[in-house]
Amino acid sequence: MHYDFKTSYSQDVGLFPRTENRVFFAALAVLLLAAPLVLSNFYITEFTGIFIFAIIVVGYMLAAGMAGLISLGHAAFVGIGAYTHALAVEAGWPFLMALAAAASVSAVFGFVLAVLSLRLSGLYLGVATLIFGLAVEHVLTAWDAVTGGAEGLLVGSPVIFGFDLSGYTAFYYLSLVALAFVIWIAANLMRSATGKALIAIRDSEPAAQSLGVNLIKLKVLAFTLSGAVTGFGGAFLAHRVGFLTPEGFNIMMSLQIVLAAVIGGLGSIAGAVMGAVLIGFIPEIVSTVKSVLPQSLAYQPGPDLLIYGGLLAVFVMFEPLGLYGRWKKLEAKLRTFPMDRKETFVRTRTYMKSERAR
Amino acid sequence: MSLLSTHNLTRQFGGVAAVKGVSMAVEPGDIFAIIGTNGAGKTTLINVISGVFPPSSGTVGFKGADITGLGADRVAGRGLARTFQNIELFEHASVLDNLLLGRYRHRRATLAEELLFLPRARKEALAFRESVEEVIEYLELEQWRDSTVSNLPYGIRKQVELGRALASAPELLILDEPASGLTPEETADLAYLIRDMARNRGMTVVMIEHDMGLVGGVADHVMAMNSGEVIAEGSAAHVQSHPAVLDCYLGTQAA
Repeated sequence: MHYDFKTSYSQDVGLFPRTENRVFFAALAVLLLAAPLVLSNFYITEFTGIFIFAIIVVGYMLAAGMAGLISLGHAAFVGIGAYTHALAVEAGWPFLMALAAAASVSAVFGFVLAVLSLRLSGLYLGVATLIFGLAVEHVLTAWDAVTGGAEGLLVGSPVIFGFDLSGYTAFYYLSLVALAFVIWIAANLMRSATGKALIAIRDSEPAAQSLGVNLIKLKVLAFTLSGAVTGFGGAFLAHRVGFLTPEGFNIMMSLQIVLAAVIGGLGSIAGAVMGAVLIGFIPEIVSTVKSVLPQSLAYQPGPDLLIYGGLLAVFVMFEPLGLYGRWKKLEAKLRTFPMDRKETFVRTRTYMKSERAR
Repeated sequence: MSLLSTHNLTRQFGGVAAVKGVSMAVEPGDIFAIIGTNGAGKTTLINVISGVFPPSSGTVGFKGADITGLGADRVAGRGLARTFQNIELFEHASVLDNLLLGRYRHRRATLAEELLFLPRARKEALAFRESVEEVIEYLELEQWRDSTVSNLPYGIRKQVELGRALASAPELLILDEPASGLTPEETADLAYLIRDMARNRGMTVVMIEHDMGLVGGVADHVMAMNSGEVIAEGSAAHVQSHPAVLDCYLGTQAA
């Protein structure tokens, strides 16, 4: 077992508890900032998509991972954010204001959904949110006077203070900044009392209540914040795809979001990002694999679905804590090397001092 | 004036009256023990007091105010902390996070300040961390600070749950069977802690307990319950030799 030597409480409150964390994130930042210099436009766009998906998964994580409110219809918030943003940009709103509108409108929907489903939890909540997702998709199709219906809606360029940021590289940086901002906000929440209260309502409602946590308020807050962040991600997604259709926000997307969160590791922001990266690269991996497969196999429908399902099964069976849990173990191993032991993470009984003395 | 008082408190579940017309008064600084056989209504009584569910009739007063029917979170906000019979911890969080939640009722920073981690939120997080460290030191939990609760042994979990209640700096601490499942050494430690909390730290303790050694050792005032009613009240020695108590524990012949 490894213990950190801490000399100040700010080490427990700060975002980077150890020097290595600082170095790691600094290196990561440099890499990501330098990446467009060497990457082709194809990969720049690919990365941008992953950043945006990561924003969405972080938003989802706030409700599902932190507060334990599993939602199966989060694509609805992405859709609401995307359409609100596209319509606001079309109406001539400045980019940042349109972004704020997207986040606010999805927050309102998150609030309404939370109030409507307050009495539900677990699977029932999942079904209610699933229906919400289907309903929103349907409304986006049927309300064609505003959304363009099935014919779609063209999204304008992101223009901030007169600078057009629709270029590959410019939008890459814009999405990267947005992701960093969202992670920062989420991390701030989780190190504050309110964020910890979300964990409390996830793990034990009676205990949370006995400590002064208002369950209803916190559940509504979790959904509202989650909706806001997810809608914020949706606004970026609108620019990434350039053309919105309701089918883009169907149940498949909801499931992708859930999958990314579960595979990344429910309950951690880092896990949300890791899951988003893995799920985001799957289409890429699939097309690479397809190119080496014989024709007859390569054009069978649905390899993505098979991979999603397979991944989920593998993670649930072998690493329920997700990529983040795996990362934690690797980190501990490296930290104690060469004194690491395979048994460190095997669950053992721990004894009280009085029991040991016998 | 009593810190906590109930008047004719009754709680019914369908046709069953789990608590029947209980009136009690807990003086500030007291250690008040509630004893009784299984199903006597002890836990229901404290659930009603702490607001888990409202009473069917009767009133609860705390610090001179009527708190009858207030939700558990609002009762907690007034300075009443409790532990649970079957430990209710936040299993997937660290010991530190569990204890920090004890400070929840003292937060002052607004949500916006927390989201942007403005100076007030940072200061509050640091202050919470510091006061939690006092609890960690008091209960000797240093070793377990960063462990996840789900990996901890039973005795430590009990300590963490007590610590979480202490972290909220309550005026009234309600313990539901604090010694159940503890070794004799741990029970002795607990007796010391309970006495110290009441005598030196200005807390009032109400506890449900079956261990008569512990009750006799620390309680100033003992109340015995049976079938939802109070059958005896007074000093530990008085209650222990009370015919009605002997009757319900040992049967009629003993009395």
